[in-house]
Amino acid sequence: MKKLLILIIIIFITGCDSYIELNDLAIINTIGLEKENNNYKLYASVVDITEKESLDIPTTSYQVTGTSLNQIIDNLSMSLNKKIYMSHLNLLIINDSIKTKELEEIINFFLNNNETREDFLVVNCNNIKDIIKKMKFQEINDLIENNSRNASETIKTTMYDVIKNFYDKKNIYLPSIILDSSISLDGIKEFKNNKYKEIKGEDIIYLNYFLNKIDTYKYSYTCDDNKYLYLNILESNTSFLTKELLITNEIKVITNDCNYNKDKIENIFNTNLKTNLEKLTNKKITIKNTIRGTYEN
Amino acid sequence: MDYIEKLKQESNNSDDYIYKEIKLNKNIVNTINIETITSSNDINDFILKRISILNKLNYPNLEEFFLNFLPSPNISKLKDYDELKTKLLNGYTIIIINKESILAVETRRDLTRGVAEANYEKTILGPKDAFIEHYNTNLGLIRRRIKNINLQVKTIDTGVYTKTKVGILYIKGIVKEDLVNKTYKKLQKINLDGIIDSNYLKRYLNSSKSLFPTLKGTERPDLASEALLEGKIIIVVDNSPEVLILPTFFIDFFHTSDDYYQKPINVTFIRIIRLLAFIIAIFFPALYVALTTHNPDSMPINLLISFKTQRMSVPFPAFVEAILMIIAFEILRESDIRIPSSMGTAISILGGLVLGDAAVNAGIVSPIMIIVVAISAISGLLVQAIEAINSIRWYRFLLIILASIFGYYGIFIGIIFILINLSDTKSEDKDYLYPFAPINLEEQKDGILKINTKGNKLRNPILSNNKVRGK
Repeated sequence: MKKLLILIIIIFITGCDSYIELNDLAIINTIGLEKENNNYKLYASVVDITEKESLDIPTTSYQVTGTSLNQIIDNLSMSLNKKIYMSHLNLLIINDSIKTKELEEIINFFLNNNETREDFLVVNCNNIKDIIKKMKFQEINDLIENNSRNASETIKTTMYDVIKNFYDKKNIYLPSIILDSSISLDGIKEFKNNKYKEIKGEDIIYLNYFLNKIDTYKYSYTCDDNKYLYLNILESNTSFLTKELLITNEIKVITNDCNYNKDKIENIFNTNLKTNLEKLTNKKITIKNTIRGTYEN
Repeated sequence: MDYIEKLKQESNNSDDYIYKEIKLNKNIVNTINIETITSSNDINDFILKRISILNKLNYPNLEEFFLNFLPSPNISKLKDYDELKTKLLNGYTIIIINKESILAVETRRDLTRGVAEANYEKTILGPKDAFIEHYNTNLGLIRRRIKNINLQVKTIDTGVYTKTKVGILYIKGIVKEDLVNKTYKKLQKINLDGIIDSNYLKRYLNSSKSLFPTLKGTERPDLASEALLEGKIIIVVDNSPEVLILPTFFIDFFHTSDDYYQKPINVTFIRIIRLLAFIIAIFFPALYVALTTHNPDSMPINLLISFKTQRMSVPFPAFVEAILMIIAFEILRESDIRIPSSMGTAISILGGLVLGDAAVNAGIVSPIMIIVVAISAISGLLVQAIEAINSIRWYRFLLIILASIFGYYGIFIGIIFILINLSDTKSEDKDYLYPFAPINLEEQKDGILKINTKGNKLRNPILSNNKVRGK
């Protein structure tokens, strides 16, 4: 009898408070946050299966405001009449109005929310409202993923990176996106000393070298008369030594119209890399390359 | 009162009792037989024809004549009225000479079918014959495989009214004798009106409260012979086409007889599949309920959205939906077993169309739920014994309830409960989870894995003191 009583108590004390039917969940895909007149403005892209027309997962965007993040999430829940479910949050978009104080509040919100993970991407965009309306499910994630992996033209930053860099008092780098005819990348934003600074073009690649985040990218060099040296950097690793920055690259020569030999190719590539990296660090830079391909033409 | 009058009175002059009185010179010979269970040809050939010869011979001692010259293979002298009744009811013809001396001649009619193919323990390779309802035939099927004087039988008649012959088979020198003695004592203690089938004995031979069966029945003589060689005992019951194997371990339900007729590596693969199917059968619906009601965060987003889309039109909670579908499946299964095979097609169409398609279109259940229940149900059928399949259903229900209350946490509670339950179970005082708990590395060669039997020279130490095979 005692055992039965204990069993019943265990069952009823623990309860079924986490019980939720799928139909009662509002699955949030993307959140956009901006601050305006001491109020947070939240844009949310919510999975809406009632409007499923194509193969893509349809989403509907909502907009709510409030003085704190908890309040706006509650407001969103009230307007949707469903439980806000952020375990599968894909993307957080913030704009330049989110500074140190707000960032700390956002970090605290996600750290205190046991439902969310910290592996969703964080990006910067100054036109959140339109982006949220126009974007397709996971479109921005795929864009960033593809660019950072194949071209190293952006930096993939997750919430975990933001939290880590924030508490380590390091610079936070966020991919910047814009909406023209379609959604595209527009460099990255460096958050430092409560300010955002734009980094664009090739500088992003050298920043990636500095952060040891290079996956693969293509390097091109014009010699003369429309002749090109075209290299594919297959793999790269940056080691931070005491007085030195040691970079190792595995390079494949794709096009060698200029008919350079191996040493010449390495010299051109190293000079360019060293010059640009020296702008980012005072350390001595050593580059070791493994070059293979058609350089002996 | 003479024997015939007494018998007539006791049987209320039953119509199928045949009484015959023959006068031979100065002697009176009475024969009694029960028409329905005796062979009239045998009575004619073995008894009546001889009596007619006797009339001409004028033999002085009738009892001696019958005992020596009746051509029946089984003829005996009876001591009293009780013996007379037993023999009569067993298909013997009783001969009473001058109302004093009683003889019984075996004239039993063969009421059994011939040896046929196994019905529910089908195999691709290996022998196809199966036990039938005849005790001697069943014993014969085993003796034909084990031609050794050490294969011995202890017999006991059980059941107050049925007096069913129950035999304990074992191989002396391999089996542990105390197992035979204990089982014999248990059988002696049974006080029932009748034993109609070997399955009647299960509850008397087995004291375990576990939902999983701790006794395995088989209709295959090759499997029974294999068990005897392992040091197990076999219980053969007259009128039952299924013999019982004692003791039975959990892993035995994942072994089939053709595991021993195939390459070990293939057997290992299929055993892993069977174990996996067992796990799927128990956990799959519970996992679905936990995922959709407590732990959607552990699903990839695309799967989550797919589930959500499918469940959108379903008016029931996932738990109710799961229970409804499982009950529907159980109804279908039971009806499929009970109805004549000619109506099976109708049931298949109804089950397939109504449950498979119409229920989804009507928005009563989601397609994914049908997939989950179907996979779980089909997986459950891979386990060998019907009782094991039935026990799976209880664990399935238990886990669904736990999953709907606690989610994954509930499933873990269920896993711990099942493991405790299995670890606590004994089959004839032997650990049910053997050879995994307690672990025996030698026996792992024929547990889930099947490692080349050439090296598998040792017998199971908890079943036999004669540890080395081939001795």
